[in-house]
Amino acid sequence: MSRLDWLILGASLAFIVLVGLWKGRQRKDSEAYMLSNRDMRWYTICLSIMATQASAITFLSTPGQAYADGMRFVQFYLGLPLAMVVLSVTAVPIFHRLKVYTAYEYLEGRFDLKTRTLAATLFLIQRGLAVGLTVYAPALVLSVLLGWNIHFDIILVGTLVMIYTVTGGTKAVSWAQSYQMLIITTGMVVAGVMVIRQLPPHVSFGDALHVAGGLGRLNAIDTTFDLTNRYNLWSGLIGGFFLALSYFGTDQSQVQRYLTGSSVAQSRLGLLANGLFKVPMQFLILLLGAMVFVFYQFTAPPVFFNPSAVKLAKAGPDAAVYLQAEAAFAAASQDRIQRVQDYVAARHAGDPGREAAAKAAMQAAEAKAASIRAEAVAVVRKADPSTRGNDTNYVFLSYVLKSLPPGLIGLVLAAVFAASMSSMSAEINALGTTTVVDIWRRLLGHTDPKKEVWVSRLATLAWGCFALLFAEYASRLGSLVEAVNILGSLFYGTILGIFLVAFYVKRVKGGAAFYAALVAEAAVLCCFFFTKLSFLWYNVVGCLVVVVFSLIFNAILPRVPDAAPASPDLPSASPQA
Amino acid sequence: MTELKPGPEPLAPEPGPPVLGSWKRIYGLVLGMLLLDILLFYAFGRIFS
Repeated sequence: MSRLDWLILGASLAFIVLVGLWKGRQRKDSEAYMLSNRDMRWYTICLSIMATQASAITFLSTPGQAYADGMRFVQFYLGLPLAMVVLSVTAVPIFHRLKVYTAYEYLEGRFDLKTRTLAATLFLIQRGLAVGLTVYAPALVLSVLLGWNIHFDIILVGTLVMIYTVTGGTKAVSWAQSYQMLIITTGMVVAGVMVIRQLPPHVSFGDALHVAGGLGRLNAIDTTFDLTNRYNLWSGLIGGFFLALSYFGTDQSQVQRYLTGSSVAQSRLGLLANGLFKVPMQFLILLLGAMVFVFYQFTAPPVFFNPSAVKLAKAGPDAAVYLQAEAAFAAASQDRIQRVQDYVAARHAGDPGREAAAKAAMQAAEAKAASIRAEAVAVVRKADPSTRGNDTNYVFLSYVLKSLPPGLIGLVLAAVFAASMSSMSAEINALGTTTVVDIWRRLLGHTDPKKEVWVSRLATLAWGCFALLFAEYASRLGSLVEAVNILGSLFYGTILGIFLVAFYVKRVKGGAAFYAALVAEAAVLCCFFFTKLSFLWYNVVGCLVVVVFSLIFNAILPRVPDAAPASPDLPSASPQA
Repeated sequence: MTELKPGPEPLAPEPGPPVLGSWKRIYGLVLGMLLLDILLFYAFGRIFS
């Protein structure tokens, strides 16, 4: 990295921290600290929602997924716009009317304290673990880039985030996220423009698309229905819908973003704008990955993009096998480059017969290179099982570090850092809020408003420190983006089921919903451990089990007379309230 | 004599969106965009494969 890169990276990080500190100054009471006095406009809410979801994991793994597997990952997001509409119609007006601080507060008025506590606890476990992965991703960037100690990287990133999140609360988080999104967008656009510019002069963008498509990297939509296939149109629309409904409707890290809206209309518009822009944004990030793939059709790529795993493979007992595969892959890559050049030339010649033959030769060369790579990956996997033979997190970074000019490397790294910081800040902010509102205030009975801001700061700080500790274990997981989604799917369906019953099945009372939630969580864990069901369907299973069993339990459990909610500041709530 | 008490306060009418005039139009825009995305992505894959 050049001095210019360091300057841009350092200035970007300092700017984010200063914006957070400035915007978050003078937060003197809980509503100001936790909900920014509910004064946000829709565009800030939209940017904040997008920045919370789009962590550094998104920008590290997603282009790599397109490189390795094509663009079908975009289908994962297709249920999101549907969920935004449903939430805008149902959840947003209810949460606003009740003036809740957390989504789980609503459950006490509707059901009972134990259901509220169960949902809040599931959120704390799931999000508390996931935030560790959010911290780990940029630490990985620095450790690969500079050979820094990864523990130092984690502490550096975590400290920067905690400085403005702990002091300024939600307003600091939301405003910092707006500027983080600006940096992220700039960084990704610049990377996209550069990768296209760095293709050989005679290769147009259209040629690049044909090369990517011919080699199976533009397969965005798969209409086959297969429950074990993670990414197809149906799992994306149905499973993705339930996942998005759970994430945006019941995960406090997102709910807290739109609870800051100055009105129902502002919160709704924030969510709906997210529904409008999210899918195209993910498509463009995947297209960037596909273009990186095309770039490496004209420049020989490494056989495996994770340099530390390669080092282990070369030092292991199968080093000779790896070196042989590496040499064979280099030769196969040169042959593939020639075949791709021939295909582009055939396209320019305008002869369909020649083009078809050149395309078949290009595909054969790609298949040969892929089979040699598979041999090398098997050696890597044996030498370093923690990689699971997966290097998708390293592909985009490798391209950035080796191919972008000075200055732009710093900008793209700033984008990755901004993404990581934005997610982590929103998550520890929400974890701190839930701990104070649902545990400290409600369960432990503390009601001193003067203490509450300081307790919130302490809780946020504690969750930040916990995230840093958990980040130490993240390297043992596989592809980061999928790990986070799988972790979320183990709990989201159950929480969503509780909220759906709360919103729509008025006759179900607290005890029935609570025990149904326990059954649903057991069912989801059984699916995870004993079946091959794709993780996107866990949300559907968890949600449906809660709905069905809450109806059954409601019919067979003895009726307990309704009691007034014990929380002094919480009205009895129903969608019609 | 029983004192008459006011009934529950009626809910305020839902405010309209600051843009595009009605919520239905905005929901339609979001869902229409989703449909367009799916069709374009499908066509994109077919054209360049």
